[in-house]
Amino acid sequence: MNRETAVHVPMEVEELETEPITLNIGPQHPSTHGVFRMKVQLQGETIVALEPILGYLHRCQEKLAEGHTYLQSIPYTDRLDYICSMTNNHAYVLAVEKLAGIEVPRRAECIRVIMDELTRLLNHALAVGFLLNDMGAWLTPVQYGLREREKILDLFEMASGSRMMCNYMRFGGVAHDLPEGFMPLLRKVVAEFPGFIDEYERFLTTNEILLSRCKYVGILPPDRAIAYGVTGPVLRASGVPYDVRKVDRYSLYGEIDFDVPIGTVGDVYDRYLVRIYEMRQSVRILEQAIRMLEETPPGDIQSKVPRSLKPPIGEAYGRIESPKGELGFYLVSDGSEKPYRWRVRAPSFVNLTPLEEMCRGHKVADIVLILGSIDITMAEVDR
Amino acid sequence: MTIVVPRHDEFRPFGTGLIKGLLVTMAHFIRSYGKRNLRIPGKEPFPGGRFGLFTVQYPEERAPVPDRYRGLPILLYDDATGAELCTACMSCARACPVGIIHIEQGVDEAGKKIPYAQHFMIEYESCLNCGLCAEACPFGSIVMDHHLETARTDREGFRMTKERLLRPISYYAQIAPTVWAEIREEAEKRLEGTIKRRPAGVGVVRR
Repeated sequence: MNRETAVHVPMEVEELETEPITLNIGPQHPSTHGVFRMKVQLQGETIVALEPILGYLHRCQEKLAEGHTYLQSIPYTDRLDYICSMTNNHAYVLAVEKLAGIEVPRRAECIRVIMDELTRLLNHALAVGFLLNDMGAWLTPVQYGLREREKILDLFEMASGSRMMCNYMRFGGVAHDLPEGFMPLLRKVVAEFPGFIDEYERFLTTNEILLSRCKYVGILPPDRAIAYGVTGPVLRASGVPYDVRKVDRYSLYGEIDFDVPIGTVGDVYDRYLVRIYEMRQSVRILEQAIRMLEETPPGDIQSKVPRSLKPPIGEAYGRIESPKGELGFYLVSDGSEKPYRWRVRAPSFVNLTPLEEMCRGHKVADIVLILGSIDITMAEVDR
Repeated sequence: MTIVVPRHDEFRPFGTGLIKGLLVTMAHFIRSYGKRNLRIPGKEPFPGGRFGLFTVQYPEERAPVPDRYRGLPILLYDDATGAELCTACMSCARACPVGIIHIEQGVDEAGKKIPYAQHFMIEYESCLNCGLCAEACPFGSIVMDHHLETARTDREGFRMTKERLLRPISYYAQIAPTVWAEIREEAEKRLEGTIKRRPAGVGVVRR
């Protein structure tokens, strides 16, 4: 900065206008949740313009999938949003089931709902933890989130065989039945989770640092959110009650009773609160799903699907409410065993688009906070 | 139904948030001494409750691995006869998303193909640990190992040939009893047929 000119500014000048400077945040920056670069124009410490630069993690996934069979793409969907691999699997198999007209047994649907909601719990626990991390509360809040996540990852490991890259869902069901000893542990996790949320809220919700950092920061009005196509907790925090679970009623969500928490202002604090309340709703869904699974007689977890699946010529779009927003897979089949087009509608990518609008006018320290409140995974943004 | 989240707008903390936060961390700090919840073999898969010490001192202690755990793929052979279960049917090579399984089928003196893998190689460094090969194998020959530490300094060491991939069935039945129980009947029945179709002495592991 040109300090000399700042020193020699006459005192009668009321509004100090400094020369705008360009600041590069990233690509390698601990707070960008991956490899992400922001080119920020600053007027003093105030953000004038922000240009997100993407593509550092691009791995050609959509093109790669065109060279793989439908089944072989399931492990790749794990690696889109590596925190919520179960919901990624679910969205993809839903799209293929729509394309090929495959029925799913009820028991498998119960298991899918349980896995989806567990994924939501662990994603939100981490999202809130890392939001605090971005705020400067280094590692203490996120440790509590990580501890709860660890318990859920243990359940995933028991059921699927892997902690993060689950590869659990299959066309017409799930890969394996739940192992012995899974249900008691699941019940324990679900019973203990509200205690964790209470502790988190006691710890954070009315903390003055959190209140002063988050309130009225990064406001996204509902009309702008809809215009940008934002989904998930970010949209609901702006006050739009849009949840794909309620709109599409896919899987068993039509039979399950739950509420959609919405915010009023659409700032970082509302996004934090919506995530906390969604965790409480997820616990409610889990309790109902466990009851449903227990009422379902043990039986098929996978319907008969040919090993080399050749869906009829056509297209399908399958979408679910992933923890980050609406995750959709658009598939075009040309009748062969490989897809003609394999497209992901990634919630992280779409939710990242209004970043400039949210950041403009705020201080440079708020960028990281607003970015953390959107809850992105760069692997899903760049694909 | 929708619920509107309360924003605590009229709430004035006056420093209580700081004290509450410190109390939460202090409670965890003190209780971690009283309750030591370690994920070690023989104990619960994970500790219950929200208090205690949750970490595992990794090289000395190891958290137990569930039966279904997917490590890297290995091949099995029968303990009693030493016969390899693999018949070079190429199911796993076709199922592999990254195409790292390479198989060459064996031939007898007349040049006729026999159910035996002359060469079998897996490039371990590119493995996704997805387990699709084990799911595709109709003979129960390729299964997922529980071995975790695979770091090496040389790249050549990751080219796993058949000799290095083969493990006895008893090894797998010991590390993953429930998974082996699911595939056992089919695998043993098919192995009998495989041994009959092979010339004598082919596809037998010598120890």
